[in-house]
Amino acid sequence: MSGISDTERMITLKTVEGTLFDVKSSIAKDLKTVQAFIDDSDDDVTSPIPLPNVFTRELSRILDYLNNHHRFRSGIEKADEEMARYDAEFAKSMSHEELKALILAANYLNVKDLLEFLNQTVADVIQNKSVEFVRNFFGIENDYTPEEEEKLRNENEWAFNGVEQD
Amino acid sequence: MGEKMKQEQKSIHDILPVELIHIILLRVPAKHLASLRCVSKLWYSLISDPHFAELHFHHSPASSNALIFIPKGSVACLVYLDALFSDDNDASSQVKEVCLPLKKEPPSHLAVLGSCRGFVLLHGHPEFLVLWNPLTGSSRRISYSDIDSRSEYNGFRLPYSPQLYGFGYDASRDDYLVVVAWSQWERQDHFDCLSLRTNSWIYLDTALPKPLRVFAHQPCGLFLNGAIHWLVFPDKASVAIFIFDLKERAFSTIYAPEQLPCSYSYPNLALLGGCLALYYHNDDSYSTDI
Repeated sequence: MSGISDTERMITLKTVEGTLFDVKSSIAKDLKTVQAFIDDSDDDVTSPIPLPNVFTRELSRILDYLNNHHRFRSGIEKADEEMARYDAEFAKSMSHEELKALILAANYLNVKDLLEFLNQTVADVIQNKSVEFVRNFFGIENDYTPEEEEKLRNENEWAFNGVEQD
Repeated sequence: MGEKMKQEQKSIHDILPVELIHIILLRVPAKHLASLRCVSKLWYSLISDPHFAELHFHHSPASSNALIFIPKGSVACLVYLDALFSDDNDASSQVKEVCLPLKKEPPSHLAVLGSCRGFVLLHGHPEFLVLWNPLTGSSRRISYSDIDSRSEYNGFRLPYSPQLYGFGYDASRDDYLVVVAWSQWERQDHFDCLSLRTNSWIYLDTALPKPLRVFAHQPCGLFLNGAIHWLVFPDKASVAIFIFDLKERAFSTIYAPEQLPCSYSYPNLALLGGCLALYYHNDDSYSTDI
């Protein structure tokens, strides 16, 4: 193992569907859950690390995001603009279902920057939407009785002005 | 196996854990939070929690400027100054009516004592204070019967009775303070501080610059940069600002410069663009003093 620098080491990750991903250890560091697993292991990790909660689609997106961000950060000055453009495209390319799935995966893998970005994206999405939209998005059941909800809405009528139609 | 997987996939993806919802809500601008309370009872309690309001402020300190006033009735109006002065003529973003956090009939004299970091301090008859965040709806009642029982005459009432009062935030202790300076007839001057975090009174009589025989035209202080400021008139000719630093819990005084414009009426103190400004009525001139 000598002669191989840390950044060149490859880690293999296995998704729920059994797909294997080879990841540079420098990228793997951003997946804090994975990094913790590696740190906790006594020997070098050679066999694929199973990720029981992560699907191929999500891992692929996450690695895409991380690879690009690493590239932007290590590059030249113009990177901020490019990064912003990439982020905007990245967010737009996903349906709401996919966005939620990605948040869960990023949360499980503890990818701080991406999670921060995704949380902000969702906050932007739900900002001015109707209550039903938000319920649908998060899969939340309405536990108010119709009377309770009516009362609440009346008290807060002002808050519902200017809300986008579904 | 594929079918079952698909089922699991759907259920995991449908529900985000509460911690994530909490984080997401912290990133939603305050204006939009109120309607989101109707999503479910869990969301209502998340958003109305005073601690949440506090955290939310931490996340978005660059909040919009709003004036709050209470016309008769049980409703308060928030006027968003930024929207008012921008080109956007959308009335709904300029003025919002908010329900007051009072369970019973609103008291006849409801006054706004001060505001700080998104929280508004209200006073109602008989003698209670309400700390209220209009946008998230969280509210908390506070009583100042402590002062009332210590004063000699019954009927100590904010905002009329004390010489000076104010409301502010002490960042060093992460605490909100309500301060009241009052005198007992010809005798002792008192300066009391209510810490909202511990819900207890702190007696800081010794901190007062003696004596408190100053005439304060505006007994309500202005909170800026960790201290509460009052405009006072130590004597006929001079104008000064009393400053109570919330962290040091000490007073200091700034005297106004000599060359002040002549005016028939007393000057007032206001917060303008992050500075204190001195302005006069009945006079077209404005002068700013920091």
